[in-house]
Amino acid sequence: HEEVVHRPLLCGKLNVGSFVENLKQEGLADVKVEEGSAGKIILLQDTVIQIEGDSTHIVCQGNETLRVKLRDILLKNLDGI
Amino acid sequence: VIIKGNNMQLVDSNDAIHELKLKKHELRFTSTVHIPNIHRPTSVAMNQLHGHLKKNLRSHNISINSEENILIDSVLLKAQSPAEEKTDQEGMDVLVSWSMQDEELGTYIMDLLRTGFQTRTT
Repeated sequence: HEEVVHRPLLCGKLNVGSFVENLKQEGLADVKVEEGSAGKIILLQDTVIQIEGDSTHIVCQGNETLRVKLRDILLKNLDGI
Repeated sequence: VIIKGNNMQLVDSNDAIHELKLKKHELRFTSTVHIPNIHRPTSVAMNQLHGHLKKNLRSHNISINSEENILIDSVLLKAQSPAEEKTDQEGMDVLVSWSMQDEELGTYIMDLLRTGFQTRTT
């Protein structure tokens, strides 16, 4: 394995509304948004996305195709640079 | 690279974010891999995994702590206790957690666990 040189730094907040909208456009229609104690929780199939201000945690069950898709849609909806 | 007027400066990415008054966003992933042919109990399995990762990721610092969690940079590997009805099943589920900054390493480790471990230990 080669030395990892690309270490992306992200900034900004996640626009939850447009993120959910984009998920649906990408065919991931079975999305539920719940209010958590510290932020929002998105439930999608067997995946849970916890959003708290400046941090997001995507918890999935090993489906890499889905994870990468969620990652890319999420990155499009960060209001940083 | 930060360009201000006619000046161009090469700075650390953390410093650049601070300089531009931006707020960092932490993105973390946690996923699960099932490793079918690994030997229980968990302590033995995690030591086996530790050895395997050390062989494949020579340029990284890989540590294992007393709770049998393996840490490789920001990537954390943790054995998941099997559900009661699955205790007599072969193999083990391992939780893998990493930050977006270590996306390349995290993806590589997921791949290594899913494919490499099975073929090289049989």
